[in-house]
Amino acid sequence: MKIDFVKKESVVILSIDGSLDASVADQFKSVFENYAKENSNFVLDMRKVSFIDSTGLGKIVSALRTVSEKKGDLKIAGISDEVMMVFQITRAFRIFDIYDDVNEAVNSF
Amino acid sequence: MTRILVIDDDSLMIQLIKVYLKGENYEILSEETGKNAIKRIAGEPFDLILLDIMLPDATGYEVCQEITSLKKETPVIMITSLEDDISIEKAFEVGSADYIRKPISRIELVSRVKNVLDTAQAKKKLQAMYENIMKELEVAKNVQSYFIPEPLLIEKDYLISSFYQASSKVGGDLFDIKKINSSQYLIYIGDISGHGVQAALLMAAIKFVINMIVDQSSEKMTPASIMTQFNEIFCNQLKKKGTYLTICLGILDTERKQFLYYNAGHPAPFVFNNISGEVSFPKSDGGIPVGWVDDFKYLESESDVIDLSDSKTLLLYTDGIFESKNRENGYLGMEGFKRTVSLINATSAITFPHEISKTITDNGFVFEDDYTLVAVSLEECSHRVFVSGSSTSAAAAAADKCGRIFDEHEADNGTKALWKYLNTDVADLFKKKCSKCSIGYVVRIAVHEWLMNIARHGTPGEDKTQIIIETDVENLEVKVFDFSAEWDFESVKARVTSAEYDDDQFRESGRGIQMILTLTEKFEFKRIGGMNKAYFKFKDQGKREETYK
Repeated sequence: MKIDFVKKESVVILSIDGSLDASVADQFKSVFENYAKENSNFVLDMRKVSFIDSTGLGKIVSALRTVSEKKGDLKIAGISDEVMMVFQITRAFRIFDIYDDVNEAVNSF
Repeated sequence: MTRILVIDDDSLMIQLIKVYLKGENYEILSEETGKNAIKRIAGEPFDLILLDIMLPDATGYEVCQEITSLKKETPVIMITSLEDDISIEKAFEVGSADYIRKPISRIELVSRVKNVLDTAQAKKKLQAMYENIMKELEVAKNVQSYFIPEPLLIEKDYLISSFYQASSKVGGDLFDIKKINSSQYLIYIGDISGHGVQAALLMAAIKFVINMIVDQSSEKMTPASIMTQFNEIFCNQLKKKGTYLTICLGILDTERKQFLYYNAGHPAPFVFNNISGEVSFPKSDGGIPVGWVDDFKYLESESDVIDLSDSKTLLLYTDGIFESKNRENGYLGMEGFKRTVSLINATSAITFPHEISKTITDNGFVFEDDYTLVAVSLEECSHRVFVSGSSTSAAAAAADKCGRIFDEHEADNGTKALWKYLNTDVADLFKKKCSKCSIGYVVRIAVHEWLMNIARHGTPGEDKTQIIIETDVENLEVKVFDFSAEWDFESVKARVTSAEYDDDQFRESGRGIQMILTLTEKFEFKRIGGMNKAYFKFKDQGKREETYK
């Protein structure tokens, strides 16, 4: 898994490339926490994520909690059908704003 | 210095005891109430307590009971002025080591105190010795575990599943497999009379000698020839130690699909059919155990052969299994064992030994001796993912392999058809956003989540485990077996299916199990003997005919 970082005005776009599963979940967590020190508005660009498991999802949920506590938000964009299935089963889609397009997500802030 | 606490509200009595015990090299301390005494005993070490039966705040019996529950190893001598036998009887009942009657005589006090202290000292030494022996046995057990094959051995042409349980710390059961050539394997199971450290050490030596014989033998070696050589080398060793070995030793031939064996006084192997579940008990000739007669000739004509074609599985075992006893002290016995095995409807060699053990335990029998159960099968293993390692690494490796099975780009020719079928859309399952999700993906994610749960719950520390995944595409079934610890799946399931769980959007855990339960038509988890079995049945999407061709 690779994570790219781009900042558009006050919004941080984290682009994830690869699987987001138990084997890399802690890596995602530490990268996110690092950016969350100074930022509170995030978009997760998930166009290149083909596989996510409950552990990976758990880290995204706790990332949302972190930014919510700072009155920020974490939005999700470019989600594949496979990844969406995991969001649906676990009802995680209820707590996230999910967009098809990354720009759309960025502009929503 | 030996510390004695006197508990008495009579200061004259305390003085008297101090005077009487002077010159005995004791440090005498005192307390006047039961409450203060208990407090002090909890915080300080004493070698002996002298306790008066009449205290201002409690009876001596009550105080004695508290002392013995607090510090079991500290002896109490009761001092009583009451003459009746009931008080003495009661003193012993509440745990006192001895009693002294008032008025106290010096000689009696000195000798009773000395006796009780000596006994306590001896007890302490015995306890320390016992603990040392147990520690040594624990070490021996750990060493022995290196000699016992892993519970699952899987090669391209065979599968061996074994379940070994040591009764005391170290057992005398013997089981091993050794490759002879590309299609032949030596397999043996044995039992050294007696158990404990001697049996365990002999077991190591026996394995060494058998390996040596096989390594040095010519092409023409047979079970009988190995037995004769083995007895020549080892008979006297066993005789000297007053022990002997029953052993069933054979050559598994994966090309001819048979097991040619010599049975030296060991209970005869069984055969069961993986498909029909039918059990048969082939006749077994053989000869005497190793260690009885120096120059005994183990004859070829006394060997037996078992056919293992057509889904037949060989079952080897040691006598500990049928020497299990029920509550009425009745043995399971050979007939009871056969009956039990016949009733088990096991359809896999992997679980068979574990099913047997579980069924016998479920029927109220307790194993007193060590026992070993070994199932040998020549079934095709290509539909299986098999990994071994620490629970975390094994789960990760299995998830990786499983992921590749369901990945189109990784699929080889053999699995292309399977993949094509697995790639069928599960439109019916997730109509809205997931119209393109394949059944393969559904299977992959469900199995992946289960593997992550094995890593999380299954094994404390870095213990090794083995994980095996069986897929049955025709029936949309997956089975995952693992040898990790037992864990409470049902309580996790109850939690994730509760209404409160669904309301908690930021919940920390349980999503994996929630996903498995949603994605499967049926999911079952069972503990069988020393292993776990998870069964997944996926929803049929009804498109199989057109795509799986």
